[in-house]
Amino acid sequence: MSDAKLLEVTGLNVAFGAVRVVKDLSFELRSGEVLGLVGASGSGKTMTALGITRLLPPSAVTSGVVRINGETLSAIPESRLRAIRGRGVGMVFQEPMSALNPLMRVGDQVAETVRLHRPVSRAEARRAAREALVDVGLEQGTSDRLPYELSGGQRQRVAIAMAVVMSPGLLIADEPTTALDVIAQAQILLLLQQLVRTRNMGLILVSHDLAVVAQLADRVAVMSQGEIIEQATADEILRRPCHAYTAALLSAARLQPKPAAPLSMSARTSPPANTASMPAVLDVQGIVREYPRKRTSLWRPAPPLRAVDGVSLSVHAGETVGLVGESGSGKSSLLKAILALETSQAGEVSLLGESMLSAKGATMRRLRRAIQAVFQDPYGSFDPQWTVERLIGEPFHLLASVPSAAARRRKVAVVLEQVGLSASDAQRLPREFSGGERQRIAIARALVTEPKVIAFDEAVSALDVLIRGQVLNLLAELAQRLKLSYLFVSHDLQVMRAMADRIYVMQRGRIVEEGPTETVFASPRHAYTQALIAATPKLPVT
Amino acid sequence: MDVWNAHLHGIDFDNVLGVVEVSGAYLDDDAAVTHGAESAAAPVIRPALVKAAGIGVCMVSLAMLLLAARRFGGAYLAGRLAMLLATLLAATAFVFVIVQVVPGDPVRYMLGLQADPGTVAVLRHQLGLDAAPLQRYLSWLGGLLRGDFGVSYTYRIPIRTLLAERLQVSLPLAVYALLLSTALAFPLALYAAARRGRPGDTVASGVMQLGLAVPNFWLGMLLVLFFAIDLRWVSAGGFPGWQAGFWGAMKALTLPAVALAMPQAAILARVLRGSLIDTLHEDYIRTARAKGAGEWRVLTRHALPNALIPVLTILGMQFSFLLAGAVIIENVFFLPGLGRLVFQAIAQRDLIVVQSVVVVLVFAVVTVSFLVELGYALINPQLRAARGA
Amino acid sequence: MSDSSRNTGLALGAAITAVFVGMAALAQFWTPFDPRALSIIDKLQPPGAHHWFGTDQLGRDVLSLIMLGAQTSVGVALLSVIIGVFLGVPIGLIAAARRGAADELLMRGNDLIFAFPALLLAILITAVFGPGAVNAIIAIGIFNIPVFARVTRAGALQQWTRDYTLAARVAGKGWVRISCEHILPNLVALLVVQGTIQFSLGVIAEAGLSYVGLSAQPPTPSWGRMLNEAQTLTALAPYLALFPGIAVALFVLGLNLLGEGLRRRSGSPA
Repeated sequence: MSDAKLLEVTGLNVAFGAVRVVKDLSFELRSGEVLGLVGASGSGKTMTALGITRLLPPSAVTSGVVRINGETLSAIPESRLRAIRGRGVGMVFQEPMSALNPLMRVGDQVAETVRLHRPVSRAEARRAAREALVDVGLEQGTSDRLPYELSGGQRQRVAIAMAVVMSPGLLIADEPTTALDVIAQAQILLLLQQLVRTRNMGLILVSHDLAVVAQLADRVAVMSQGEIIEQATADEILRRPCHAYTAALLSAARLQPKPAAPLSMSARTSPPANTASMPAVLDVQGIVREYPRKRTSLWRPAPPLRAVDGVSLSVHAGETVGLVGESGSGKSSLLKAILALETSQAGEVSLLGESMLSAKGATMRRLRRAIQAVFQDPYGSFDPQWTVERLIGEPFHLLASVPSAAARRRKVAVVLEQVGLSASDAQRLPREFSGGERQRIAIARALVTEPKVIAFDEAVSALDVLIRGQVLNLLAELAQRLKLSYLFVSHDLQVMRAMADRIYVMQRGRIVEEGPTETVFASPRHAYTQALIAATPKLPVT
Repeated sequence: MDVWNAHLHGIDFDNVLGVVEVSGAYLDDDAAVTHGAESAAAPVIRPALVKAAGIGVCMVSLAMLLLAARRFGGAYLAGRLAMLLATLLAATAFVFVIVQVVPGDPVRYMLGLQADPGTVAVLRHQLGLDAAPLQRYLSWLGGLLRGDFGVSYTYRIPIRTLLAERLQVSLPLAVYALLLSTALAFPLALYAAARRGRPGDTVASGVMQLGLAVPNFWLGMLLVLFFAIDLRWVSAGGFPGWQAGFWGAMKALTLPAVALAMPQAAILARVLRGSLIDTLHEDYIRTARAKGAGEWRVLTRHALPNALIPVLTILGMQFSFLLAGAVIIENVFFLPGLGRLVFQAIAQRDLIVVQSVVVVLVFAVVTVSFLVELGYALINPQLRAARGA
Repeated sequence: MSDSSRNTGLALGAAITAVFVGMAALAQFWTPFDPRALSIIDKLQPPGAHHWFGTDQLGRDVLSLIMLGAQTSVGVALLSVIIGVFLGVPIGLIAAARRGAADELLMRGNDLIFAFPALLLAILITAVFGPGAVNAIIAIGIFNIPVFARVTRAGALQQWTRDYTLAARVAGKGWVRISCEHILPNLVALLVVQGTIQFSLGVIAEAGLSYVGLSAQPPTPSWGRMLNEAQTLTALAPYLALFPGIAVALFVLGLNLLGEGLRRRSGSPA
């Protein structure tokens, strides 16, 4: 680590009209140092990252001094700034799926950086690009591919190659792994770490995830509402946070594993005696869900895509069952099949001992009352034109006789209070609520028919960590108080560990491992489970 | 020049709705009179122009088909081609039903109610109308496959000859207008997108709004008023024919092409501007800026290729609008194209000519949109990915 | 563009549209002169204090004719939009909700109609049934069906990807109910915008059709026919070719500004 200051930011301000999103920010960075910039969504961390190289939207008003290697960026003309972008400062953004030009071969996109900054021939730039792509761990020949042919992790490597091909002194990575699966995330973090070491680069790692930042950062700056509220070495922040907000953030990020419930105490080889004697509330046997593919041959139909390949699972009374897997593993397809929202090609779902898949009419309505669901997107889960009362009351449709307006209002008020909102919220529209409150409304809607089972599809994935903690507490409390069973689908192992009594691990449409949560975490048997657990970033426990 | 001006003298006959006696129209119609001379000259020009264009279009289509077959497999292509054929078949059936079945007896319709029953019978036999509708449809379809559209009742010549002559005006006009529209729209849209949110964009967008609002035939009238009547730069209308020389013909087509192209250019520019601005919000644009690319490079190398994908659909639709729009513009400028042919045919109740012109235009529209859809699939990697190629 | 200039566009568009629609309504009761009164003495008078927009070759007051022409224009365009909405929207909703074969069938049917630009349809209909305003309405209306079907389908498909449709299905609702209760109300803004655009296209199409004599027949005044009649007199009385054209262009401009303003306000994509 050299002593020369690579980057100095003094009094940076970013405002959109009257709204100040970054307030009087100051920090510095040395070569070879990693600064973690942490904060909830809307804390201004991305605007800070973009503000350094003045890549903010034109409506943003900035002030303050940004100095890189002694050169003041805030004072130089756009043309000089362009020479610094890509050459002095490389940038990597969040969305690998949209960060690459879909019509340009990835090699050419990397070569473009070279040709923008060095007067070299096309062939030379291509050669440099190919080398850079190999440097970030991609195979030979990747440079001739188009972005759609690559996975998310591979695309993020291309983006990194583009950012570092000119060996810039500073790399700014804005949530570089947030959109990736956990295994790809671990690989990208490792790559960044290697690059910083071998090239002595400075790295600003912007993330909402303290555990990710903790893996790489030498120093951490915590942002809230446009300000850095605390800045110290990573070690100090993690062990002795000074600010109450940082402490809250840390404790919310350190989810406590759920204490093993008495009924899942016994060894995984033989199911617990007390659950085996008790019929499952929800029993799923051999579900197969296939999607047709476009035929590519004139003579025979294309083999269908098997998203769910013979999955069986069960949920007992009062139990929270976790279903964990990466994106594309078939979790959501399985959930839709279980909820009879999509037709399965094979298998059986029985709810309270009755077949869910063949039920019709009144039986179906009775069964639907017993199983409700909460979905991922707190913004898309509600018809924007309906009031909360109408939204929560939508499942009343399932009752044999629709209750009177007064009875409906009473019931809606009850569930609103159960999820920690007030009865007076009933007349408001969903857009008047924050993401966490909306997820509470979604839970209220699931509770209103007094179901036995609630299925959660990534229900806390879109929430900030503080809010996530509150919602998880609420769910645990409701399960206990109302004797609910949960089928909890998530990609997040930490959340799983905090919520589930038993978990099923899903990979490519199949269950590869199942068992009581703590047993699986303590001694995973399947290689995939082992890889998942190893890749999950952990906060050091104090 | 004399032939050209002769068309102008024929203005009065072109009032489409004037009740024209069938017998009178046959002799008085200016186009019909000159046909004898023109059809002699036509074969000389056709190989040079229509054939070259035809071969060009066929080559491009074939190349696209082969490329698509290679990329998406035979099944995809066979499916698309089957769909194309089904659409064409349905279109012919629709036209046939509307023209020949719905009105009852086409011969009575063509000759009027007071027609002599003997004449009716003779004409009906002549046109092969005494057969059952299905049989008539099939034989018409068979004729179409051989390129035989039947015989015009009023002109008494094969409709194929009529169409070939008229297409020599309508097709170049549509292509000319399409080129003009593209040439106008692209710079305007790029300029507006580069200056987005600033006064330059506001002005450019205003120009687009204006272009969108002005009906092409009125623009044509204004152009005539200004360039032909006030300035006397060009003739007010008519067409000297390709035998009068390429430049003379192009000169006669210029004002009509401008009138046709302006509103289409406004539509195209607006769509392209919108698409460019949408594209400029994409993440990969920010990536390009972070690499150090300048505004112009970002716009032309990254935004434009991606923005073109939705614009291609519009471009394909434009060609059909231009072909159809030419029908009206030809009446403004007294051009002997398909448009004038169809209106004369309506006035003279020459149903088979109407039917043929409509079918030819529909074929052109369907084929062009088929090719555009194919091109769209070829350049769009997301679609390629979806097809699992 | 700044917020203020957006609002100016919307206000201007609304004002122009209101003027033309108001003019059409007013013409039902009152016009400056009797548009049917022929007066050879007054023929081809240039615009002046008495006849603001001048008189035509038969001595009729051009302003009065334009006011009555607005009726034809509004009537034809409005009715053809209504045809398009009433047939196209259900098609789009069904196609989006059912997907698969129903979607394919409905959308291919739409493509078939798209192969017949409104003008060709009008030509066909006129060739067989003779010219008239009703045929113009039918021709433009048929052309509007696939337009509304496509817009509805695209909007509905987007709505169907949102989780609230899943929630509604978990609440036991079928696709018809969800389409009516959730999807359609969320498409109203989109459809109003498209309706405005199709209205303006209808005004242009009606002018074009009446110019070639395929729409309203005499004595019903229409802008397109006024232009047609003015064409032979352009050298003598250019103002005759001016005012009806300005009427069409201004009305269309107003409708487009209105549509554009509404689109931005509702935040739906272009």
